[in-house]
Amino acid sequence: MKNTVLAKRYAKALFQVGKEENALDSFNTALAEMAALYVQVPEVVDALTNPLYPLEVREKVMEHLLAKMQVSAMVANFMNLLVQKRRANALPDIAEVFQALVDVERNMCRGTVTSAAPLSGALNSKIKATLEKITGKQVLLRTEINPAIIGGIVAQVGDLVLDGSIKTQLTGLKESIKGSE
Amino acid sequence: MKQLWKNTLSLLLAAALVAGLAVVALASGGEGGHGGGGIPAAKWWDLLWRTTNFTGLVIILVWALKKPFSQGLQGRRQAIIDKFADLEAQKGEAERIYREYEARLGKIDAEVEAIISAAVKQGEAEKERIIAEADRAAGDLRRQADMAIQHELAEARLRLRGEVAEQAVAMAAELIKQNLQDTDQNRMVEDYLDKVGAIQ
Repeated sequence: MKNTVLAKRYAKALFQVGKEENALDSFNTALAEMAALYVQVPEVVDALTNPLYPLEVREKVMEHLLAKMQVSAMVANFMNLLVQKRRANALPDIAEVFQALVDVERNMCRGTVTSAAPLSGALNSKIKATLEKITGKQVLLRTEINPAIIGGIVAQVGDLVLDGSIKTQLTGLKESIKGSE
Repeated sequence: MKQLWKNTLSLLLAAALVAGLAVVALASGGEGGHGGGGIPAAKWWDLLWRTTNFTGLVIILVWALKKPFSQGLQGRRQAIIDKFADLEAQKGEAERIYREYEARLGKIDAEVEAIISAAVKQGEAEKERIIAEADRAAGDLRRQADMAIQHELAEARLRLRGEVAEQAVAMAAELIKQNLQDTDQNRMVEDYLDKVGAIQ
């Protein structure tokens, strides 16, 4: 279950420190990697959050992970703090909020473009440029292929959704046929 | 009643007179009684005694019974008078009822006619009401049937239109999938981006 308020609190604290130390990128990378590890490996979740294990054992696991990942001392302290405060389960949410904070700081936003077939580089650039024009921010796009949309694209950036797919147009056509008298 | 008492008194006086005569006879024949064959004086004295005794008894009885007997007779007389009055009243009531029934019997034919007429009129009204109600119910049923038909028609039309739309869209999607080329896809995306960019 997401705990956005808690994640925001921790992420903002780390963001402030990262901004002061001009290390937002490294912090962001470390957090993202740790969150990915946490999400993808269930044993990590168990080792960091299972209350049956003593706190010392959980701290040792985290220290071992941090040593392997070679993160900065500040990030390492932050991770240890999460384990000590029994907030390791909020790691993915914290990473997500931190990423959003960094994006806002750099006037960036992230989005996805879904198409039925792979798009050319020029077309991807045009989509990116159009979205940047609309949002007024730098847009980082992730592409997805979904043949179900038949043709066209569906672009989503934050709450903004641009649906130019053939599937949606056909659905609209169907509704207009049904509704016409 | 007064006459009865007078008669009784006369009888008593007669008895006293007989007794007195007997005493006189006793007095006149007493001396020669023993020598002749007449009634002995002792018998006469006994008769006198008995007569006097009887007279006294009669007087006492009359004195004692006079009032209750008189009251009893008076009450009986009054009861008979009341009974007569009651019977007269009953007779009058019976005669009144008799006259009333006689009058009603005289009018019975008219009443029968009136009842029959009223019953016929009521029956006619009931008939009219039932027919009107049946007409109204038939109208309601007809309207409901019409509405149900219209509703079914509308639903069928909607269903048919939906099916046509589904089929048309499915066919269109299939056709587009078969015929959509990369160039078409690129042009479609570019057109859409131009449109979106122009709106912004």
